[in-house]
Amino acid sequence: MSNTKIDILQRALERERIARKEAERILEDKSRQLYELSEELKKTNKALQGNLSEKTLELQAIFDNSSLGIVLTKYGKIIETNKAFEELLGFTSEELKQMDVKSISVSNDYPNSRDLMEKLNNGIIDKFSVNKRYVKKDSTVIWAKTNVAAIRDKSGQIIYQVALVEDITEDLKLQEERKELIGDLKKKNKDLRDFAHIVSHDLKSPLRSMDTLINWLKEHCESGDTDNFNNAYEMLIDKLTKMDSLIDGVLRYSSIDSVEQINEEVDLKMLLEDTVNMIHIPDHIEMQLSNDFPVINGDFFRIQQLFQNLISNAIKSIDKPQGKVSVQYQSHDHFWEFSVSDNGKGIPEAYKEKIFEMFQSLDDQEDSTGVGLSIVKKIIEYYNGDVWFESEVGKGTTFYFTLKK
Amino acid sequence: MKGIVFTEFLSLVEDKFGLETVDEIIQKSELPSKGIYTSIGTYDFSEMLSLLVHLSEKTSLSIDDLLYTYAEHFFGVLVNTYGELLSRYKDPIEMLASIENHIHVEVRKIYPDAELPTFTVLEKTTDKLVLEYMSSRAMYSFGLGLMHKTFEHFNQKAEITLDKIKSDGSKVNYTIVKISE
Ligand code: HEM
Repeated sequence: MSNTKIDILQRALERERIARKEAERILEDKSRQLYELSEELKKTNKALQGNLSEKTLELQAIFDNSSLGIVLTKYGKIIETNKAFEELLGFTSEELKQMDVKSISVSNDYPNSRDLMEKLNNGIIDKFSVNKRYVKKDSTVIWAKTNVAAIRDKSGQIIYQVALVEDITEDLKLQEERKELIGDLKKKNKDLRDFAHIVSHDLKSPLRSMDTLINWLKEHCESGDTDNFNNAYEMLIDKLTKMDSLIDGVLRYSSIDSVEQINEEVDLKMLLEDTVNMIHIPDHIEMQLSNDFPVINGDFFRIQQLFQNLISNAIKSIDKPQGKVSVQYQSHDHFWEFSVSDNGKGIPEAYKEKIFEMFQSLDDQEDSTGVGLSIVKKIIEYYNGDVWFESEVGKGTTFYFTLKK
Repeated sequence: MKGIVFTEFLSLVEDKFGLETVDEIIQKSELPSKGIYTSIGTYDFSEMLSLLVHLSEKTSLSIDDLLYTYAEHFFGVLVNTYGELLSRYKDPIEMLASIENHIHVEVRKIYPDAELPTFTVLEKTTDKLVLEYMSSRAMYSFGLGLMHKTFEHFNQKAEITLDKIKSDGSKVNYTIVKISE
């Protein structure tokens, strides 16, 4: 081999050798870089994991301390519950984990929420909200607003459903109460309007009679003709008395539901004896009282007003030489039924509709103001009872009413 | 410029012209690296230029011809090393149109310091592609070789005309027309 050739080969060899060293150095550098990178990655990973467990802790704290009930379920089975939910229903977490959603639901509500749940599971909807009932451990029922959402994994498969449960029993009760209150108010308003209308109308009629009488007196006074004066005064005083009792009646009527509620035991036997003594019963009328009246709950004074008005009406209606007024009762499952009957003149068909309205008296009897039956009706309405009557003109009338037990 | 471009170049020179030629052009080029290359290193492009100039003097072949021949060899290296990347393509026109937005994008992920040209698609149909090449290295003949090899790779042929937009070859338009058999 020539010297030049050897030189060339030597140079080539030298280049290869140095190149190899160079390559090794580069690779060495690269592996050091790789090592450092991997250390860095490890650190980042750790930090990320720390973050994650911190987040998990935060979530756990929210779950534990939420005032809303939280339930995790999987296809109807209860997987996990929080304290608020356990307290809401009175079950322990262990008891709940043995149960399914159906067993704490009211069967009527269940189909509706199950349908929604199916839609959720099939991905048709992502979340829903229902007001449904839950059965507590003590078998009582609460209403709760329930928000359900699906928790899915990356592929869209449901891992579980999470429900946020808020007790709205109190809210509903308040709503109900408010509705009742508004209904009550509306009725009172209407009563008041009717009342004002009727009072002004009906007070005018005795006033008009009095006006006529006074004018008559004035004219006769001027002409010095004093015959019949006594009679006219009598009539004036009569009208005044009537107005007085009319105003009295109006006051009594309007006080029925304005006074505070009293709920005491009322011995009806005693009450009726007392009432009969209070009313003047003419000799030709026979009172018949059932022997064993029950003891009921209510306001003594109002119930007395009730019987007093019916019995007075019955007595007033009697136009026969031998009168008879009878008070009877019957006990039903949930209410008492009372009846007051007379053998008086009866109520003509034409009055049937109007009889309970205020100031509808059947005739111009001096002592009948027409307030009595409207008071009866109002007291019975106050106690959520019913009132009705049967009557035959010339033969007599029976008023019936019921009071809840 | 990546070391693999140098090592493959020198091994091709050795194959075609012998070790003496390799030695001679390295000696004459007075290279900062002294002609010591490893495929995983990075070296200055001017060294490649010096080697090409001296090889061209020695062999009386033009630099364009040398780069074209080298590209034909280099395509084989690409197929061996990055077959995975190439196998995504079923059509040479599709592949050439994707150098800028896919192939060289992946190359830059592997070698952040790679010096790559810019290709812009000016016109494209199923059998015609007009590409604009831009690079300070003016290696348009290298590109041309790779393009012909790309067609060969898919058992197809194309007529490729080269149009210098800048006289130094730093901006060139390729008009590539598929030849149907
Ligand atoms: C799997 C396919 C390909 C890979 C992995 C690849 C990779 C590379 C690499 C590593 C370089 C050297 C960069 C440097 O030295 O810094 C390069 C340069 C180059 N590539 Fe590609 N390439 C591919 C396909 C192509 C194709 C199909 C063309 C067609 C024209 C092309 C045109 C060029 C040109 C012209 C250069 C020279 C640099 C310049 O002109 O600035 N490449 N490529």
